[in-house]
Amino acid sequence: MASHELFSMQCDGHHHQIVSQVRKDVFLPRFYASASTPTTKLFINGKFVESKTKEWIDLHNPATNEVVTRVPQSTQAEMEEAVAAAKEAFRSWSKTSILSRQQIMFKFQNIIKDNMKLLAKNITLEQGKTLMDAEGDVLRGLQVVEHSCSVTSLQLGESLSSIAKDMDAMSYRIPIGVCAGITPFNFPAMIPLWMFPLALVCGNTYVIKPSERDPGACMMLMEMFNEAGAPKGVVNVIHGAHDAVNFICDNPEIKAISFVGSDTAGKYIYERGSKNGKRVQSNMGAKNHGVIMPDANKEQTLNQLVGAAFGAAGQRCMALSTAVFVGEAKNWIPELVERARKLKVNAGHEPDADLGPVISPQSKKRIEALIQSGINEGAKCLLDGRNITVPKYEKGNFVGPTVLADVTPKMQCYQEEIFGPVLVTLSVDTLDDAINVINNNRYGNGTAIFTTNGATARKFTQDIDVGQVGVNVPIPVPLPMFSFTGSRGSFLGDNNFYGKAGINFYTQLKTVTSMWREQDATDSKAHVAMPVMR
Amino acid sequence: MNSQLTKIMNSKLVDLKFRQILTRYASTSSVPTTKLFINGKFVESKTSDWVELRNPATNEVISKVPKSTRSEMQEAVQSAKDAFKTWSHTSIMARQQVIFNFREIMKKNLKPLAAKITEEEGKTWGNADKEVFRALQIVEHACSITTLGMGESLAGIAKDMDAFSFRAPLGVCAGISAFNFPTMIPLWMIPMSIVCGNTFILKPSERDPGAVMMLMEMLQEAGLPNGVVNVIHGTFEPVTFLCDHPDVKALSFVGSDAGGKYVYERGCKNGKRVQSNMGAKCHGVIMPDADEKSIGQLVGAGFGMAGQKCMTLCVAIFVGEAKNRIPELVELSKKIKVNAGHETDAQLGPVVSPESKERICKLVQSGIDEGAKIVLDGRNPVVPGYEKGNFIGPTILTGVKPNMTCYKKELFGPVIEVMTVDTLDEAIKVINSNPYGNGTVIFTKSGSAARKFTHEVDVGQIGVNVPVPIPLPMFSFTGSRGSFLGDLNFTGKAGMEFYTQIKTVTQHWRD
Repeated sequence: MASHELFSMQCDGHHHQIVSQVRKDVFLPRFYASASTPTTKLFINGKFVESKTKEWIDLHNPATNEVVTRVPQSTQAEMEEAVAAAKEAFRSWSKTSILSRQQIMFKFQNIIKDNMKLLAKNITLEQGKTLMDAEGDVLRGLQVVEHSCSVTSLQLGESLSSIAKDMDAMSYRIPIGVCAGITPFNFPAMIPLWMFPLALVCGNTYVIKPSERDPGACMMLMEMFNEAGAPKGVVNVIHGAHDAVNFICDNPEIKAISFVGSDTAGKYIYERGSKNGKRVQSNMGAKNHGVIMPDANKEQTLNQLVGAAFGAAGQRCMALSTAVFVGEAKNWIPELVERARKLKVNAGHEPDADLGPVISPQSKKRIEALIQSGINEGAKCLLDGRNITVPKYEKGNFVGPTVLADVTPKMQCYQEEIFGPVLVTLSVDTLDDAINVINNNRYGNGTAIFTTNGATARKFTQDIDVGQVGVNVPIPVPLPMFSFTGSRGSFLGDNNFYGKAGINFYTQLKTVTSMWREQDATDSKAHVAMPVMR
Repeated sequence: MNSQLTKIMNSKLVDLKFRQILTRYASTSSVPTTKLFINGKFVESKTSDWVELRNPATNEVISKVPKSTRSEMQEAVQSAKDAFKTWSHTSIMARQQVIFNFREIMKKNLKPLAAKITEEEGKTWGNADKEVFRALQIVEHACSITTLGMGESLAGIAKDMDAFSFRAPLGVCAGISAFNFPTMIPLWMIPMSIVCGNTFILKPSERDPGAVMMLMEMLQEAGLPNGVVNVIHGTFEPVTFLCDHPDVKALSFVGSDAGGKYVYERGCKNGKRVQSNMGAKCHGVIMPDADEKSIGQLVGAGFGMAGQKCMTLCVAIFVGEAKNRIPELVELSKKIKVNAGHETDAQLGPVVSPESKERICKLVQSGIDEGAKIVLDGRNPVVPGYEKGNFIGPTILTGVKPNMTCYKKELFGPVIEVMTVDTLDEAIKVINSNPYGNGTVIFTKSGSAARKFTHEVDVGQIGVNVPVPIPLPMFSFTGSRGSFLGDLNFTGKAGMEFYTQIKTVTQHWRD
């Protein structure tokens, strides 16, 4: 799949596992209780604690719908305790040297690297994606941890000497305080790792509310972070749904909120958090278009399209869910359908799985309804994955690869984010038409063009109003030294996630202007003489 | 191996693997030899010309270091040149992973590295520990390459036209390092150079190459492909060879004035980039209002590492009434324990060679002859059990004047020269008249005095109540004037810039 190609391209097979021996066996059992109905713990002030709540959410394995664990809706007191722990930890953590904080990130990097497979296994169990996709999830998160090791260069302030006589100015980038993160279900390791490592290495402390549908990977990361030597309270995990979100938006001790998830929630958090005077960065929905030019490398393009549309069952905000065929390129659609048909749908942990189930039965229902609406509005369903049966996993939330052709921008299946293994295809006559379609879409997360022509690629990258553009790269998620620069309807805020912008988000500037009068410089004569006012 | 080293090697702290390493490149025969490292292999030199490496505390021969033959040196360059073809095209993420791995391995082996340094260079365990720690920080800095190495871009500079720049590697780079920091100085060079995509040839000091050989083993373990880093040994011939070889594109040098000027001139004449860190004479200014701990800091900075560091505070300038604290300086200095570096109570180890000891003692005598007063004479210390070592105890000369030979020359030994002046202006004048600009320090409580000093003193690295102001590696090592030749300093952003050239692409794609 294309995503794997991207991952492997970026690590070039240089994955030398030279890492400390971490007690792998201790990770899993410690935060799941061993009772017949296992529960997910909270992580507060360095300890995994059982919630006292009466409200629990059942977490189902998407491939079987068996209950894997129960996730608590944290009580008000527990959430307050988490913030209090973070606030208390901030006092010493923010004064810990930048070099010591960096050392913890180096160790954390090493421990994650040593435990990638273990994390991936948990992601597949709770989220459903294939093991290979799950490892990609971890790797992309790991790269942000590695990026945070560059903090000694990234957090440098500025200085200018002699801005006036005897006067110099310098600025420091200092932490903000307690920050909070709210993460979605689709990348249970990567998105928490977009947030807390950068926030912490800058000197902040953190409260994270992972998705209630798959918090397991986040809990494992907490264990590893503990192992790396993080002091207690610097990062805390609370669970829950709406109440936890409102709590984070309203608690006056929380100074900044990072959110990744749906449009509705993202707008809500941006508005409510901003109203309360907090910094908010909010990554939301997407509808990413791939433009296929007639001069594209056909073989490679079709493979990349299939991978980018159906990989992770289409449940990523950078999934290439819309293909815009320009001119004669539309003749390739039948071949695209054939390749999509060959993808193997199976439970994520099965070795032959190309795509796993979607996250929930509700999600499956929503996706299927959107497919039907497309058909009702005149689209042709060239490949229908709605009634797929997966032997041994009859109860799983499976949707097979689905291709809708002759879709127009007015249709509901185009207007809404499908977030499933469905590729909608449009045909247009010219590149200008394609650009027009994309720029009229409300989202600006990502887009890609497939062409062998330099001028075409240049025109596209210049004229397109989308924040992340791939040229023959189907999923152009920027590596973490850059920022995740989705734009327009896909992002609310001033500073994007990770890269330099991520550091800016998690720091505020303190500018010092100092004057030290030259005539006050002590010398021996001044020192022994009677004090004189000058 | 000394007993301390043996103890360390047998401890649980050390990887099994590294117990084998120490023996692997020093052969076990009665006259152990130091190997070359060429194309990923530790090889025995075919030379007939060997330099004896002696433990400075005992003068026992520890190893014999080869003067590499011409064909061995050529082989090293060829292997670096071949490796460049693939290494320069390896992704930056993959190169960064090798450095991450190297960091992890090195971190687990700091103690054996420190032990090796003490054995060959003579410095105390405490000092060797600090050295490897600083060295590790430089490796960590190289992990920032994905941010540091970014080029620039500007879209739409003209109709249908964009420009962007890449930082591209240079090719084969070479380093010539000094004896006083056998791990830190090679690591100022190698990690940044290779993470930028260059390949490297190092000629470590022939007096203590052992720690470098351990680093090579660790780099290999970290997954570095063969030929990316190579080590040759010798004295003058390899220096000239590296200056002249057309395939070597850049030279990093740390060492003496004579060596540095020679490399800079010869390398530049041959069209290479050269950065050359040389001699120093670092002054510490003690103001009358200096903190009570200042004299202790001065003692540490003056005598630490037996004064053999280019940031040693070897001149103390007492301003005005501060001169009343000179007796305190002498008293504190007397308490310093001189002993072999691996002995647990050692605060000051031997200097590197008998020749060095002789040179230092002569300079001290010249000071006395020219009118300075010796208030603490460490020239003939008695160190039980190590009678043959190159020991000099803490030595203090007072009444030193700028025209004296001992002031004009770099002492590079455990000697503090004391001067007294009336005002801060006079102190600044003395420092700015000195040809060197490596480092200087002011001890004061006054913000105005500190600000005036930092602005008026013409020295590249300044400490305010910080006795040894070596910048951390996110900054550069910015010694100036007579202490540095070149355009780009070591470490920091400048270090990355030294090892890269800019390729600027302007492209036009008609709409």
